[in-house]
Amino acid sequence: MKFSLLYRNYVDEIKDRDDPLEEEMSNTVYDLSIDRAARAICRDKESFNYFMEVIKAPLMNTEDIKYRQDILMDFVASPKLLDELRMIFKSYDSLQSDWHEMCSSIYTYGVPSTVKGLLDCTYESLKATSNFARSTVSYFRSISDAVDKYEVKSDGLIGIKEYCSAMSVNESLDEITRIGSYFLREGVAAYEFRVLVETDDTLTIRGSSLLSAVELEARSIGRSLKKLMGNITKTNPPPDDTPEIDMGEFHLEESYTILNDALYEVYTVLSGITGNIYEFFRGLSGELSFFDTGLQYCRYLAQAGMPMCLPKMMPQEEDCFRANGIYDIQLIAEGIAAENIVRNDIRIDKDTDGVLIRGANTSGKTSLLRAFGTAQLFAQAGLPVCATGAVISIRNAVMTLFASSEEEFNAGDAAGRFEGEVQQMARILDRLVPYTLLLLNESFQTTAYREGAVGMQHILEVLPRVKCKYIFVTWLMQMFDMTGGGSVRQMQMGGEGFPAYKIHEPEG
Amino acid sequence: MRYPSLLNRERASGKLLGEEIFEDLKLTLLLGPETIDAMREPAASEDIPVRQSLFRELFNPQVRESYIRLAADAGEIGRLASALADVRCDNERNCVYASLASAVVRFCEDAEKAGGESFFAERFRESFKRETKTEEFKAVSEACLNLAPMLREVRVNCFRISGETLRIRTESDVTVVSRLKKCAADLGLPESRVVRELETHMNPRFVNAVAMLRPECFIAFREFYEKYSGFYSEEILKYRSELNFYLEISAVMDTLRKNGMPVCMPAVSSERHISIQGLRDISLLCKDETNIVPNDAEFTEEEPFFFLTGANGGGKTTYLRGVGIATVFFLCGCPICADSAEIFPLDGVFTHFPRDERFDSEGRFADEQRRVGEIMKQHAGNSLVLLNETYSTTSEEIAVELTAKLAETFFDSGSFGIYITHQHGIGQSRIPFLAVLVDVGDKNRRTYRIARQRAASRSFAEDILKKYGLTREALNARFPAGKEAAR
Repeated sequence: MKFSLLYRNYVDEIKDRDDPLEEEMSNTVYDLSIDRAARAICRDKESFNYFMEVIKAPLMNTEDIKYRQDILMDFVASPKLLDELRMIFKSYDSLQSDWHEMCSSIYTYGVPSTVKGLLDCTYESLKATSNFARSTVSYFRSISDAVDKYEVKSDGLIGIKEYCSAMSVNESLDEITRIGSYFLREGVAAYEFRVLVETDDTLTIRGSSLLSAVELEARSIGRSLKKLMGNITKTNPPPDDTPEIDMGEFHLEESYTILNDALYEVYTVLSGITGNIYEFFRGLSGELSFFDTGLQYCRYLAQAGMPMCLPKMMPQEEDCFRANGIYDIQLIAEGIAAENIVRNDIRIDKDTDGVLIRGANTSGKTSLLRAFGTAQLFAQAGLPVCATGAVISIRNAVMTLFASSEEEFNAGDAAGRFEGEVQQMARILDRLVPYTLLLLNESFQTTAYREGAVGMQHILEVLPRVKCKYIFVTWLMQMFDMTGGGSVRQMQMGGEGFPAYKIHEPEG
Repeated sequence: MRYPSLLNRERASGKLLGEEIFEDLKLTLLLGPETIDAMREPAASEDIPVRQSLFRELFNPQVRESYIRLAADAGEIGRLASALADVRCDNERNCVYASLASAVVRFCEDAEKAGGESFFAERFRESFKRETKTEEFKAVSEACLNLAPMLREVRVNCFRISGETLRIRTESDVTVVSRLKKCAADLGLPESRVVRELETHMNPRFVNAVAMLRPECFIAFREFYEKYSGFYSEEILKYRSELNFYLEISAVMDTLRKNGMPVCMPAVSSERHISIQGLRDISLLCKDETNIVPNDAEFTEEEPFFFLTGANGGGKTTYLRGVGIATVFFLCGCPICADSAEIFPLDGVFTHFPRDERFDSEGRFADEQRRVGEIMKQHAGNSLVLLNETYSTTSEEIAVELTAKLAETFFDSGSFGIYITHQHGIGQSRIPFLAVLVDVGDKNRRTYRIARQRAASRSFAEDILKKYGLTREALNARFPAGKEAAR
């Protein structure tokens, strides 16, 4: 069991991740310059890294996206709840590392060479683990109390509240806390231990298990006597008259070995259980940093005077992208004033195989391509998008092939620039999944344009066969001749007689 | 009871294979020490087909299952027998002996149910059938049954440890770990695994204390020992290595078959020759290599001995090991990894492989010469001699001379064998040559064949579009029109 505010079904999300696609997503966020926009929004490097990881792993169904959107909206309504939870989980996240540190400090001087030394170290490890267990369990109450103070509507936060309330009165957790509190005294001398010893059929001791650890009562003795005799303790009498043989004090090595094994077993099992309980909420601090960045992002757009909206998410099969007033967040990061940022309306439906976009230099083609890709990825991350309204269907992948610099292709590779692009395209085709959005920016222009256009045309022709939609910003004008009149939409940015940075159907 | 052998009909062959052979052929990585122990003494030539018959029966899962059970029983007997040898007080001896006798009873009962109709299988089973019908066996078996709960009872005790004082009690209760595990189960958490390393022989004083706490159990153990101490005989321990031999070799053959490699029972040849078709070096299994290239091996009276040359890493040693392993397996009555084979029962196998720097005061060359001397002393013509780069630790001039001389000695003696060498100066020798051919057909790994020819290499080039599969034809073939391509 693991709680997650990012993933409705955490285990499945992790399991379904596809490594090659993850690598492709890294290229995509780089090409779309999402990292540059995120740097302007995130509080620190840690939250930036976390945010980027989440963006690179888009959600794949509408319910998961809604789960995340609703939680973000709860935090937008109650930002103080986010602050409180961040504080709680920040300290929760340090619990395990503190415990590890405490355990490793026990062996600072290496593993002891004597059995007694080993026993003392095992007991100290058990003591540290008992504290870790008790602290971990206590967080259920803290979390429940924090969320209780606010009115939350999202399934995620309601779920966490109800779960923590139930767990704070759970009998098994009480029992774990009780057992953890057995081992709080200084050293093994403070206890009487009863240990179940099991041998195999050759009478070789194979294991020992702790039955009980009873604290010994300290006898009140005078200070001078104490100085003389050390800490004298009184053994509690055995609870019954079970027959027993007194072996005396001649078997210290064996006693310590057996006791060490029994305590080590408790330590191992308690560590495992506590580690598993700890897992319930481990990593929530990072997840909350994503929501914090989400909140910062909303504030950032509001401050810049730009609109945003939670997109209506549609299943893959709808195969659509409709947005009103879409713009590129990167323009805000570049310091362009709101009134100078041109917003576009776009509608791409199921019957469109792809879009070819042309336009003069600096007419805003790349910016529009970035706006497309960023909106798609932010929408699938459960974030608002930079538009006044949007209906977006889920894409199984967003891939990009942006023309790269000469240097990049030459580095460590004998392939020329065109071959480098061909290599990248071949890799994309290898990783293509149905309902991929492919964003191409001035690709295949590193060879004779005619040849590049023909080569690209062959590729674009087959993309609809795997339900892959593309948007291609290009100077390969032959492409427009080859695709005219079909299911490929041809668009133009600006141009004579049209407003600058506005997309429209080309004349003629 | 006299325990019948599963390896020899009458008596052992009296031949002995050197320990180093198993190391050189890498069989120590493939087989356990007990199996190798059994293989050090090859079968008498008339026993080879008899052992092969039992191997054939072990391919039957039911027969195999019964032998696996027996091997487990034999392992238990061995473990308890060695514990009995280490006991330090009478109470411990009586208790361990009761467990040992129970293990022997289990073995006998399983032995009378063992499968197989071959000579060894039937003789073994019938012998135990007779044994289990004796009055003594029945009495011991019944007594063991009665002792079983007591043996379980004395194994669990409570130690009360307070400061430096230890008390032993008979009490039992729910352990702290059980309580924790119950909590974990209630919370739906995965079970924590505890690796137990405790292995402490119980102090005799503790054993005696336990005996005082449970007198009725230990009196029963003592009475059993006094009455049946002659029931157990150490002779039964031989079954550990005999059973392991059959089962381990069978398991290796299973792996080979699972990986599509052939397994055959070599025919015993009446003429002096070795003829193996499609031979594989199974020691490559240790490297998880299952795509093993087959080769043929032919040794005749006319051509008994070969030089084997070729590039480093070309598969010479692999071939040498393949021939060696197949011959050793044949001599021990085992199946081999080949398409077919006919082999003459040789008197011995000798190997001379490069050694690590593990000689004391003598140098590497002296060590080589000493080992050559030992082989010369022992081999008597009817042997297989495998020499791997012998004399590669001296000047070329001396090496060529010694190599030629040594090879001719073996050639003239009629011994079968192979001599891997890099000494090109011996090119004019009357001894026939084998060479490695590099096969670059398999791009995932280098593969090798042995023949009397040399190989040629080849190269290729492709244009960019074809190279990346982005031509129209390639794309249409990959993403056919009218079909949705699955990823």
